[in-house]
Amino acid sequence: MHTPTTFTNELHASAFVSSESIFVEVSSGPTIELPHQKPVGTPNPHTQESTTVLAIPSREIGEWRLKTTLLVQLVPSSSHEWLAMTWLEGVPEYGTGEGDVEAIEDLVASIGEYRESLERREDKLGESAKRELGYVKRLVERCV
Amino acid sequence: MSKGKTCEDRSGEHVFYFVEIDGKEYRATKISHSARGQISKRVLGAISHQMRLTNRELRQFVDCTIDREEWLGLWCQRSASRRTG
Repeated sequence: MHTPTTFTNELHASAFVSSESIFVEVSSGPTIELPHQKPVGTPNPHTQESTTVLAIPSREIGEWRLKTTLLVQLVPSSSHEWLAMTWLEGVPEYGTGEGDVEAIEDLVASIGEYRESLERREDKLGESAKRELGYVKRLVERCV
Repeated sequence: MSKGKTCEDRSGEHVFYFVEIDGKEYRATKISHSARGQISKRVLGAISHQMRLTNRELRQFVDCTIDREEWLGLWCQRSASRRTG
């Protein structure tokens, strides 16, 4: 008979409102019960990594206008670089910068330039690329 | 990316690489014009995912132990399973 082991699921998230960041921490997630497992004789690494998820509302960012809320995962990429990442129809899109704000600006510019690049070759695109184009058209546009 | 015979779009601050499969184009990946030096592990992971490769396979692609045909084979296989092909 296996003895269940209990873990508490933790989630860290933050929301982005206007130019201010509001940190929301949820530490009372649902209890997960896992069956007891025999030790395998090697240390079980307990790497914990926090990640920040921002919901950026529609707004102008640099030369681009977000037309709808963009969910962005923000993580330090290295000692001197931040990575802002989102998903376009299942494919990751990322931006990098020396700070978190620069990384988000780079991400939005990258999505905008990707839209224009797809539009330039629209008649040659495969199905998944067409779906991505439809998505980025709804997501971002160049400020006039 | 020249190993993958991709088509470049250098119009903006980011360089987009497109690959042609059965006469249709798909974005393979992108890099920033300003990208310099070593690529961080996380960025490498994002590039791998965009190219439908694992991190190890991307390194093999760079080292030429995976060629274009193998890469495109993996692309089609994984795109079909993700319904993104």
